[in-house]
Amino acid sequence: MERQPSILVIDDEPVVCESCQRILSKEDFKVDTNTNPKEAYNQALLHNYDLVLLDLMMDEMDGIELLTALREEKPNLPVIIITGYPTKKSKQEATDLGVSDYIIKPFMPGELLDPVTHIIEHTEVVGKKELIGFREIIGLPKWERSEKHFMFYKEGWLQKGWDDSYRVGGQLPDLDGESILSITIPDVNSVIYRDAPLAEITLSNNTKRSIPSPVSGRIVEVNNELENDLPFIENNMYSKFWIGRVLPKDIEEDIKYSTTRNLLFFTGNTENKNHYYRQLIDLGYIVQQTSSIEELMNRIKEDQLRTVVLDAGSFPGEVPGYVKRLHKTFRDLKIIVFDRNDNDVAKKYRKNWLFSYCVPPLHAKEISGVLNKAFSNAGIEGIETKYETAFQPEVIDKIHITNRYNKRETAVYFLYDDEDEHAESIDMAELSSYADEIPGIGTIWHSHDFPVMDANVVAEQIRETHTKRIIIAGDSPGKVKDMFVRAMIISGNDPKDVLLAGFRDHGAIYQSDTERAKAILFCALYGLFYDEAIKPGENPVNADTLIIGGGIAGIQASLEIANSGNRVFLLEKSGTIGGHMATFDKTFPTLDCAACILTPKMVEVGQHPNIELMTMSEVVGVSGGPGNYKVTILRKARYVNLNKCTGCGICATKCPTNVPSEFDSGTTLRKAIYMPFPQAVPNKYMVDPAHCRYIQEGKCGVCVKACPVEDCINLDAKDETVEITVGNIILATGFKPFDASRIEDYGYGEYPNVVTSLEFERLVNASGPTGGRIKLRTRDKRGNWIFDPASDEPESIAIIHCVGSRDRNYNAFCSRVCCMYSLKLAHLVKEKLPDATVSEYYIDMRAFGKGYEEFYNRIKREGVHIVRGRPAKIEAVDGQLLVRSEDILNDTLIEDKVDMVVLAVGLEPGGDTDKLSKMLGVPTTEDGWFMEANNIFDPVNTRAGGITLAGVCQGPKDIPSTVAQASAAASRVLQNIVKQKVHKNVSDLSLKKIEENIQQLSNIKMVCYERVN
Amino acid sequence: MNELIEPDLFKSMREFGADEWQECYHCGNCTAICPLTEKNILFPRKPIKYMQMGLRKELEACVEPWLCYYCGECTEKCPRNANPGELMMTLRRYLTTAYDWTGYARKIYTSEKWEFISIGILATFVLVLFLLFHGPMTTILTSEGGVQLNVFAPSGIVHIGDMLMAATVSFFLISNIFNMYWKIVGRNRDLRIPPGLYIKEFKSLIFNFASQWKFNKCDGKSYWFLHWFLMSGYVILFILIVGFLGWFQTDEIHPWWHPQRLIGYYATAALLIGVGYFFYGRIKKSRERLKHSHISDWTFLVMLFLTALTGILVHFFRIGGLPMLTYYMYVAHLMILFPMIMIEVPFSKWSHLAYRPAAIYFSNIKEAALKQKQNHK
Repeated sequence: MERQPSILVIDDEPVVCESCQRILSKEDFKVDTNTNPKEAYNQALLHNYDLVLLDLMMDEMDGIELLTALREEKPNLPVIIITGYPTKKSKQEATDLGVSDYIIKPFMPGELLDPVTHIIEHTEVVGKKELIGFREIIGLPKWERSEKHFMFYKEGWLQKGWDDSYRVGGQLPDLDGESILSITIPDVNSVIYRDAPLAEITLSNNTKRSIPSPVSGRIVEVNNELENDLPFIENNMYSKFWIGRVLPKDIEEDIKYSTTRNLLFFTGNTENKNHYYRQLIDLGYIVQQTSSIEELMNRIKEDQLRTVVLDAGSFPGEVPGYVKRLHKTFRDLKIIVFDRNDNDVAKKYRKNWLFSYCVPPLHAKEISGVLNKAFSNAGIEGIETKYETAFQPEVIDKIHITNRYNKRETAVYFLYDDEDEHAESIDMAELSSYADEIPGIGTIWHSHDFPVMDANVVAEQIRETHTKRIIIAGDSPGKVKDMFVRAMIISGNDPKDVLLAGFRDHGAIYQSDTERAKAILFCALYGLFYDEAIKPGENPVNADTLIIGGGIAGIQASLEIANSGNRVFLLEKSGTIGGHMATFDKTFPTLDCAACILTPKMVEVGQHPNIELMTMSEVVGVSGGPGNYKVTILRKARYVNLNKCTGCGICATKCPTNVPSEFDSGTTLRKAIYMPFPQAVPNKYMVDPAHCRYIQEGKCGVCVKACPVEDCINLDAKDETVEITVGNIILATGFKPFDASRIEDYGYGEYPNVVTSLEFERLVNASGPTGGRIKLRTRDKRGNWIFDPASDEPESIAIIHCVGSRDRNYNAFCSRVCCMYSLKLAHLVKEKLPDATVSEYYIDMRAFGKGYEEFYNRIKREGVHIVRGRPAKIEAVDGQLLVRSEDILNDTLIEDKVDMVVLAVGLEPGGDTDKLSKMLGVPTTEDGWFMEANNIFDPVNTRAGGITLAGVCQGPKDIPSTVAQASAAASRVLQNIVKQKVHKNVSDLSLKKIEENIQQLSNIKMVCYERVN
Repeated sequence: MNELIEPDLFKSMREFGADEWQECYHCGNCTAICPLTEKNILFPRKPIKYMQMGLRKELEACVEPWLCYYCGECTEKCPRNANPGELMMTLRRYLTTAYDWTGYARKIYTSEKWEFISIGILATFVLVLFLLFHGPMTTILTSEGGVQLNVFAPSGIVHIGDMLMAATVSFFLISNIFNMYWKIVGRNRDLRIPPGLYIKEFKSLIFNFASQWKFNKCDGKSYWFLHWFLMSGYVILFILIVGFLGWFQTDEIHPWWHPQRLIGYYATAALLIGVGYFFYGRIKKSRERLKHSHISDWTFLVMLFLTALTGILVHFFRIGGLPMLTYYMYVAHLMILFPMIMIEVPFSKWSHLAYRPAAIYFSNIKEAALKQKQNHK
């Protein structure tokens, strides 16, 4: 173009004129503006403009009026309407008058430039009579009205349009994994000849392919969208891979040399009919379909068709027979079968009778590849004439389009705070070098590269590095998105090309998640959802479930699953289910008796036909995989026959050995043969081998003699190992209380009246050492410190919060429930000892749940002293305990002597957590609890397939939350059982596989996109 | 009482010490474990609150930092590792600069350059004085074989210099104490303090100044003792050079059991051993309070050590009859001693000799006044 294109902008708002002028003059157009429509009209008539930009709503003259007048004098002048108020009427009027495009204010620079350059350089104005609807104004002419089928000429094809032009394109069969680097196509107004190269394609392995033109003529339009649509080309999606529109010189002659491709599609399945049928149509084939074998054979005979596609899925088992018949009747018929790949099916076919055997799900690429092979054998003979072509790469302007994903035009900005980096966080250096190696990424920035987050500075960098897309990668990338969007606009790029790769949102938090972070980055590059890309495959699932842990979480989950009719193995380490909740006296905030609400569920579990209860059992080995776990369980010997024991208890009365009771946290004594508590399930006795005299020394055996049932107690029993196969596992292993003796200053273990909350809970409970009376610990006859029902009552009690929690020297996390249970204990004291002084020493009062704040207020009203401040040390003074604490809200120091101190100990992960974590492949977080799939919106799943979490083992929580989570875990399990599938482990997916998934998905995404359009 | 909050107060604190105190979540453990806290003397948590809230005036009215002897138990017990012990030390440094109305203290605390340049200037000043005005550097020994130090540096003149130095230092220090008084007690308009109270509490001031008795509540007696030992050495020497220089800086060589020698040896030993002990502790970081050292801590120890060392060397060179060495060492001694006293006493770490007893004094006064007020109600 020797002459500079000139454009006239007519708009009564000076701002619009100015911006248009600014934007367009950048592209080297000569721009004139006018805010007065009448003057502008004259201007347009006098000068020769290449394009007019016209506003519709103007005060002095309506745009449509102006356009009407203009059209009378200059019918071929291209006009683009810019308006802020598109109404249907104005659009209709405008299209009747013939406009080339329609832009709506406010617009981005790109929105203006694209149609303008398009029109100036490439298209002719589309006349009035040829317009069909509004969409046509914006886009290219629709090809719906055209004949659907293509005519093929070697690798090219042509399709007749509804005007006199023909659309031409090509196909690239057998692209074995290469991607397209660039395509060179001729420019508009070039003359093209049949058989001359229409497009030259450079592949990623640096080979070239060319597509011969099926038509001779002049090119009137070129497909500009090729830049974005290279993946379509790779998939042979013809409606996108069209190269140009040609006005043919002698179409009759050209058609002689191309052929249509006819085939028969045999299917009985309506769903498949739509799916593959559409694909075949899109590929340009003339498809006849039928569902009867007789009709099929008739058609083949009559129409002399040579290719047939059989969809075997709709005729299970019958197709091999049909193939035999077809092959016998028509020797040179090409038969293509779509069928499954498992051995039983594939065997039935005689492969040498088939042209091709394809396994669904089938991609358009695959289908086109197979069909192309089928049809290309029937070639055209003898066209060897070479024609002179005007298409010579050195002479004519050509459009060079390169593959977006291979162009190094994407920049990655790593957002992280150097100060926040520590040994446990994602390895940014590794991520950075990974990003460097991805072909599409051209520039890498780190946080410290932009010490000042200023959009102008960043825009400079964007221009310098020729960046067209930006990915912001980090924990919270959205923080800086606005700034980058502004920077992109300033530098003239599309602001929509700022993508986020959020690590924390997708569960990449610790250093072990670095691989995951890489996958997230890769997904962002392709603009795909990470969760889709990492969908691990699925396994079939065994309907049985194993629940490890028999506390309230395990009980709840097992009941949920068992009630649905599926079998559950409930495993419990100790001799009874019930867990910690069974040891509580009352539960907050309703002050329900814990045992009263728990024991009915326990009994239900014990009696449920679908629940196999295994107490005194531990998991010692796990093998297999999701959906099919083989678990080895060690069943420790109970020494008492579960079926025979009646629970009478005579054995225990005779047993000579006393042992501190675990259930009562050591406040009472039990015998070596014992029932953990009277409501235990199973309600049977058990023997403690570490303390039984017979087992340890061979003496005694009194219990056996005393037992009224024969062969009930067997002190020679051995541990057993069993193996079970389950599909899902629920971890409900609970917690262990913080060991208060680790804090020496509180004197736990040294001073007898310093007790933990669990011990106090037992003291206050009616089945505890004192029958529920709160008494001081005193020395008994033998010098042991015990809770004696007859001893004195304490007159003052202090309850200290946060023992072992919120403390960087012990556990930095908050155990969540201790504030509430401390208030509950205070209430219980006030209930039983109304005159006692009760003080609570806290740091923050965490009353977080339903009814909890009201409970707190109630306790305050009951006269409990609530002191903000924590004692650091307990000292024994004059037989009492000295509590020294700052009273922060009253600005003074408290030095109080109390009779008893209760330490609100926190929750810690149970002792078996590490072992289970390794066996099951469920990692733990840094504070030791099991790691959930995502802390915020998926606290039930884990990264291991088929393993879910319930209860405190995932993190400290109160009883309502535990029960809810247990039901949630059960629902996940049931989901898997109903679907009969369970996800594999996420960790089984290697980074390479994820990358492949992403690339595949990216292709599918393009296909789906095309479907919508 | 309206007070403006300074949200950036914490930034100015950074130069005085570690800033982990921002982690504090006000559990009160530190106050509970501190052996020195009482019903209305609550620290170290309260000053942290003032710092976090940006209440500068309240902070400067605190006496609590001076009541703390940095046993470090609070830091050990803190569940947030907020290091309250170090915070109290930081506050002591900060308050030293806050009481100083000249602003000089702040400069040398926050900038090493200022401190060293100041030392350099003052030392050079002494050197120049000597270069210009020194007496003959005679090599003739006395009859006892000692160097004639008083010919080179007549004690009468040096004495005048000492007294001038003492006066200047006292002026600054006492004015700073008044500033401290004003910040702590004086600005409290609604608390009227009957004059009799000042006199009544005065004896506690003297007592605490002399004995530092409260010190031994922390950490046991050995720390208190070593500090007292060191202090006694310094006090003795100070009194000698300001009051009795003529007697002390003699050309006579007394027998070793003579008080002039014994006292000198005692004082030097106290200084060297004391400083050595604290220096060693800071290097080894064996206790909590020794783990964080500011530049002001080191300069103090180093200068004191060098003063004592040069002093004793002067003595040995003198009685050993080495004239030139004696003269050089004497000049060196004064070159170190002069800046040390001029800077450290009113403007730097040594000011604690006044601020600590004054703090106890003022806090007692305040407490007594409050009690009186309540009794009158």
